[in-house]
Amino acid sequence: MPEPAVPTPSSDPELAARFLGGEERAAAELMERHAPAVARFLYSAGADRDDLDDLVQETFFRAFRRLDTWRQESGFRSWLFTIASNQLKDAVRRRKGMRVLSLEGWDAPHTTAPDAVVEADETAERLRQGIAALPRLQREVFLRRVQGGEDYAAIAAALGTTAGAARVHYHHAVKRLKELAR
Amino acid sequence: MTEIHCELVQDRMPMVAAGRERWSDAEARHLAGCEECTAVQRLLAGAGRLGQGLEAHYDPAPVVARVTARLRTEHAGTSRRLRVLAALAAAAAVTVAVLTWPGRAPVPVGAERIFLTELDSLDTAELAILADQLAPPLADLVPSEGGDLLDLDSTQLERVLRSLEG
Repeated sequence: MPEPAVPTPSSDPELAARFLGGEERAAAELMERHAPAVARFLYSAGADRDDLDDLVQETFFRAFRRLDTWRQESGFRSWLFTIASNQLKDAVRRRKGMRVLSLEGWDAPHTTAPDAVVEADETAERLRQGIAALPRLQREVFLRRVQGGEDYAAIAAALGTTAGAARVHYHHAVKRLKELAR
Repeated sequence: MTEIHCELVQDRMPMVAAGRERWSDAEARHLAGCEECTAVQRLLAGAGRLGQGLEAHYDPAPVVARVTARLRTEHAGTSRRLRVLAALAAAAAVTVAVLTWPGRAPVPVGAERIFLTELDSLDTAELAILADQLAPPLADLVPSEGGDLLDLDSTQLERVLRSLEG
């Protein structure tokens, strides 16, 4: 007796097309699929825990408003990371002076209260602050490569640069973080 | 024995960690004996774990609810603006028709108030057709960049109508 067919999950481009066609549920599916990863990306890039939900919300709202501009050269998640990164940059600019991360701040007091669920480890928090203090392109390339396992070509497509430049940014980031860890 | 450069090994570390690539025997031997690469591997492993707990426990439901609500509100706002535009366009069209009717004596501006009760019988599609027949297009007269006709007061709306009359 044949097994009942298991419905194949829709791909991101399929869901995007359905949303553009007026199907609201497709947006919800995309959010359920990618919101946790976007939250992690923002957190790893230095976002405060208290700001995460707002940043994730704004990222998706803006993404859906201009979904027709997603060129699909990079994956949907990668495109979301780019929007999220812009949101984070704007948030930091708005709160300028309230939270300053610098390379010298490796041993600075923590600005985010440790949370057992998030990251209780002090070393991890210092590493997070070190990543947050990297120049933007270095930080983005580093996180996409180390956490997302993206190859340089995909990163370059997402960030509008070349694979060679992405590789250079990655190695600069590794070098700086290595110096901080010493 | 092939010389292995640390930078090449460190370059591939994330891909190997993600399971997309594998170490060659020579690279594995290099890693086992290179303190520099081992330190970088630890660093990258730490960065790779950052936020894992957060991602695993993140509940997207509140974000889904709020974004969906905002998208609905925006969609409703757009529809409302379109309806107002259509009604305004139709009113303008009838005004122009009345004022330019052949044989009609010239009327000083502001001397006569025109009621457009006939528009009440038109549905949205008919109003839209009227709007399309306007010259210049009504859209040219609409405030841009987030402007909303609902925000205009009666004097400003009258100005828009007058500009249609030339």
